[in-house]
Amino acid sequence: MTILSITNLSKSYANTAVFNDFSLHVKAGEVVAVLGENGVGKTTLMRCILGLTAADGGAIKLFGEQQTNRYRSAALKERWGVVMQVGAVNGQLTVHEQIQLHQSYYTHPVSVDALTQQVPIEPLLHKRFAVLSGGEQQRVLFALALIGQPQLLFLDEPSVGMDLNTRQHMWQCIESLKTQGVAIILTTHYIEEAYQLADSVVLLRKQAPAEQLPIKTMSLEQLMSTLTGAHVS
Amino acid sequence: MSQWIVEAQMDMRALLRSPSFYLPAFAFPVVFYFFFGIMLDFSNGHSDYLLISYACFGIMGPPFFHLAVSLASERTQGWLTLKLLSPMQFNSFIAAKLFNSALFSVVILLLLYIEAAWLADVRLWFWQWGLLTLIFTLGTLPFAALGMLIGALAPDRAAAGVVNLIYLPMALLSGLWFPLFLMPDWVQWVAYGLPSYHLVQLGYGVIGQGDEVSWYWHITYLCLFSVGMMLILRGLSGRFSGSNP
Repeated sequence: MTILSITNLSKSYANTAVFNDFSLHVKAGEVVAVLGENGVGKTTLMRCILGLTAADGGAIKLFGEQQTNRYRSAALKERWGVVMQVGAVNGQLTVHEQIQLHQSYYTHPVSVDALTQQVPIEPLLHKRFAVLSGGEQQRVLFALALIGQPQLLFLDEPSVGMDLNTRQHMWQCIESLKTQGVAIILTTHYIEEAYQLADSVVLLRKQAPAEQLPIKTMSLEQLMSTLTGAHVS
Repeated sequence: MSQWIVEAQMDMRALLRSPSFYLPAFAFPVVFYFFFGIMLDFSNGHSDYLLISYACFGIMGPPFFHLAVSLASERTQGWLTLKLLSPMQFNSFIAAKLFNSALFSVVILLLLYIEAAWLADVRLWFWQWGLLTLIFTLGTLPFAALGMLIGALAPDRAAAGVVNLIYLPMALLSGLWFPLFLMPDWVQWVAYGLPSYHLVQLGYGVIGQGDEVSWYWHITYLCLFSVGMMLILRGLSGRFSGSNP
């Protein structure tokens, strides 16, 4: 089942094209990593799909529904989870309170127990978000994205600031979500993260068409040389 | 539990953990009334009149500051974007903030009533206390609408400053600190355009000291002002989610 379908999407800022005729199809249980230099349009692509930024042209279908403008229905939002690149929540509330608040938004939210089994946030539950480290905050934001049991997950540089153990735990969680049929769009600067998790990589480049690489048939070295050759940081 | 109730609970918890919000909101009207309405009593025994003035001044603060500052913070720090990407109902989110602002305003009113009755011997009929509470609680709406407009436009660090730039002159120009007849004519004309002037006149009306204009016109003005702010806000709705064209 195709969860996300993007056809000939284009977006430009001040007459400079961010991407042109960009197409992408993501099926249930598929992980697609979007890679590219800073400012190449990874976050803009996510924002176009999420309806935060209007695309100039092309078509976006989510769960088979054509999205004709920036409006995204509540029913659609029930089915996705999002970790934004610069995400934050009210620092005065504890993690447990944040979870309670986000649970109230969904028709079928996961319980706190189920969530803490998925993401190791139990020691953080009674701490205020503001006092957590960057990596801990990122972990909490990842957990919040899972509250609605999403079928499509957007992860915009989710492991920034995480230590190695936490990052590996998040990778395991993503693998587990994948086996449950969750489609995942992941932007990252860590090539090994993309290699570990993704079924394919979309390479965004300035002044050049985007390229989709089926990385499961490539070695990490091949992937790195392809990316390095394309001037990816 | 209904979404807006959970939202209001969490919003209240966050507010109660921010003494920089609630301490000035409670203290300023109570302290000002103590000095100008009770200690100095410039108005020669008109503590009931000044109670209305400072009640109006007091209830303007929470909706102004809460809506403006918290919306500006939630908007510019990306908290609201995250919420709007969830199935959260925006109306519930706003309703929770309006409810909490009104609740803070009611507490300020109660503090002033106790102070006035206890220290200034202000005696009103039960219906007058009740009607004043109703007027001033509903009267938070135009200031909440203006606060939301500031919250939609101002960066989070500037929001409190912008509110002060509007709140304090608005209180002064509406005659909440000094009677309007002591001020130049042009100030009185400015006052007619301010929601605080119309709200306080409704309050004065309850104790038989309102102006000659019918209460009906004051209410009409306050409703039109609130609707006008909401219409402007509707045009700016994209700013809440950090959306751009």
